[in-house]
Amino acid sequence: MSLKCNSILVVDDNESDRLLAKFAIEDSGLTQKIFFSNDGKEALDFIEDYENKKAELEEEYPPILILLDINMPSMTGFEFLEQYNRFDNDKRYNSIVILMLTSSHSEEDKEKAKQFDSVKGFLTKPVDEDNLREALEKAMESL
Amino acid sequence: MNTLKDSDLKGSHLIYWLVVTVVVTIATVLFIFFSDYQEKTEKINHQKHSLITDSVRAQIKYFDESLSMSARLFAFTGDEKWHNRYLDHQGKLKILLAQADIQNSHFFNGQLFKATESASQHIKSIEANVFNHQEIDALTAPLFDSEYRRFKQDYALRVDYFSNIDNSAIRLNQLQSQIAYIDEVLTMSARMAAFTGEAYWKERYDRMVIILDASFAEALERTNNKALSGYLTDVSAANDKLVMLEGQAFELVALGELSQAVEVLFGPEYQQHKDIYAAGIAKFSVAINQEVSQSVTDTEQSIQIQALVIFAVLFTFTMFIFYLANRVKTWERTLKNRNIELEKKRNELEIFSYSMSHDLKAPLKSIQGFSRRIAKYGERDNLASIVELNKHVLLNAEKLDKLVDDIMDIIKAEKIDNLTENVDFDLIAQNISSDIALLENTHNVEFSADFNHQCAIICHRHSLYQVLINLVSNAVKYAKADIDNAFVKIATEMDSTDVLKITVSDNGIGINESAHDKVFTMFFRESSTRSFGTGLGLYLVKKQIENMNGTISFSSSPDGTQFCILIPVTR
Repeated sequence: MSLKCNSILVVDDNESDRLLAKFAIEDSGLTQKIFFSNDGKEALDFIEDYENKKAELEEEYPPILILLDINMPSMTGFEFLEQYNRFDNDKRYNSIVILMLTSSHSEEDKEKAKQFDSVKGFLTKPVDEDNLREALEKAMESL
Repeated sequence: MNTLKDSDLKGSHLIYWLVVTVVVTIATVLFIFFSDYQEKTEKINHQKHSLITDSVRAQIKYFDESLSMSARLFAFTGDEKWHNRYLDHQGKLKILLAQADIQNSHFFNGQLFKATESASQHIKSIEANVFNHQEIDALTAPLFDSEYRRFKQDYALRVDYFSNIDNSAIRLNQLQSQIAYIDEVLTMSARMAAFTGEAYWKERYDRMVIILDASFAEALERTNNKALSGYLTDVSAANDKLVMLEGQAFELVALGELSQAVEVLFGPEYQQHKDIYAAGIAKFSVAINQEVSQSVTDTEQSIQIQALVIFAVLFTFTMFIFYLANRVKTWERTLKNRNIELEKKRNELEIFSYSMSHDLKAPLKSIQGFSRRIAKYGERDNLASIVELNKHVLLNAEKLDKLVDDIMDIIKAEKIDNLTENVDFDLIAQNISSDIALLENTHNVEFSADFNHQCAIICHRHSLYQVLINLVSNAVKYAKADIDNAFVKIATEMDSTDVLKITVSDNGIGINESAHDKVFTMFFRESSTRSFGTGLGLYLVKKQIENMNGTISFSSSPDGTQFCILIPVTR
């Protein structure tokens, strides 16, 4: 797959899952530039701070892909998505694709997540190279 | 294996066929019984009918003969005695006819009176003339002319019309009547011959003697009863005497000695044998009537007993079928409930095995991911990174271990274990206390136990411990991090009906209201909180409490959660 992107943001409170996502992204060769957030709040702050981050990170910013966990303290994935809606009219964020990180029992969560336009697909944890590629391909098809 | 479909569980067709069987059987039995009953009833009625008609017929014939004889004797002798006898018997005949028609309207329907009325009227009017005349010579003529005789014959024919007999006992009764009647005819014929000297009476007499002999022969042949044949022999003997005397009288008449013949026929010896004859006939009549009634009663009784037996059998049969139908209904209900239970279990198992395979795979896949990375770092001798990643391998291995433990617990909980034992609550509290000390962040949460039940308790110790440790460790995991008085409390209380109430309360973060109905489902993890466990803890708790025939409920708010457990125990 010749998918390339400048950077990816992984939002997950679990360190193991974050690390595994990082390895998967690196192994797939999508990008070497990966940002991490522990929860929705941190992720929101990271994205919102556009001008500063752009200056600091240049072409790596904004990330083109966000891998978003659902169960997180202080701000859940859903709460993040609700807040993220306010960037809708800002063209600078229009190209960001969000993939939800889910467990096998989260059918209900999936249904809920589908209601957000910004959510383009789902990835069952733990993330590895194969399921990351698969989820991305699916997401690209739907774009 | 699939559970049974609802249609497979319906005992309704079985019940339907049972009911059809009952209805068909009852209908058949009743049909057979009633056709038999009808036949028997008809036979009885016919016998009763025969008995009554025959008795009435015999009496009418007797009275008729007696009326003629009385009128004729009055005409000859002018003795008022015969007139009185005539009036007396006429009155009796009238009453008999009326009674026969009224009481036995079912059989006669007024026909008897009507049939005999016209002939009777003519006879009576002729006889009435006799009693109104004073001169005896003139009187005898109307009673012997052809018109009178024609009406008498007509009358006899009409009376006989009502007789139709086939039953042996009833035929005997008829013969008895005939014998009584013919005796009267013979006496009358002999006396008439003595008074008139006419050859006609001898002819009639001879004709009737032949019939009488035949009647005696048939009656004796039909009688298989000793008493009956005894009476009959007596009557027959008296008859022989009478016939002998009457023979003498006819000889005297033939010699022209009419007055001597009259003397013989009205003499004491003749009268004596007449009385013996009448008494024998009366006894025979009573006996034969008893026999006939007995046979009717016997038949009626046998029908009643048969009916009783049939109804008892039908009743028992119906009750049995009802019992069967009831059992089928019960089986059906039990089977349906069992099926629902099985269906539920099967669904649970399906979800369980599906989720299980994924959940077991997740930590394994994580371990694989880390191991591959470790292998890569190994090539580059990146020891620090290897040590770091190894921590994650262990973490995931522990997660896997915990998951397997939980699965084992659930599998164990599926098996209903009846082993109960005396429970030392203080020991449980100690164990819980030491167990939760091993958990992370427990130093902030104070654990306390307050046992208020004042008696020894016998229940499933291990299950109870698992339930409590699960609830307490949840309270510890989801305690508020920013307060310094976080607590979790276990309290017990015993109610009067041997139900132990256990409450586990905390002042933790609480359970989101939207998730309240899913708390006890498999793999429940609340999305707004950091997930710690396998999602099987509360599912296991509920399962174990249900296995102890108990119930669990909870109330929760952002200020804390309280679980309330009720389990029946033995003191």
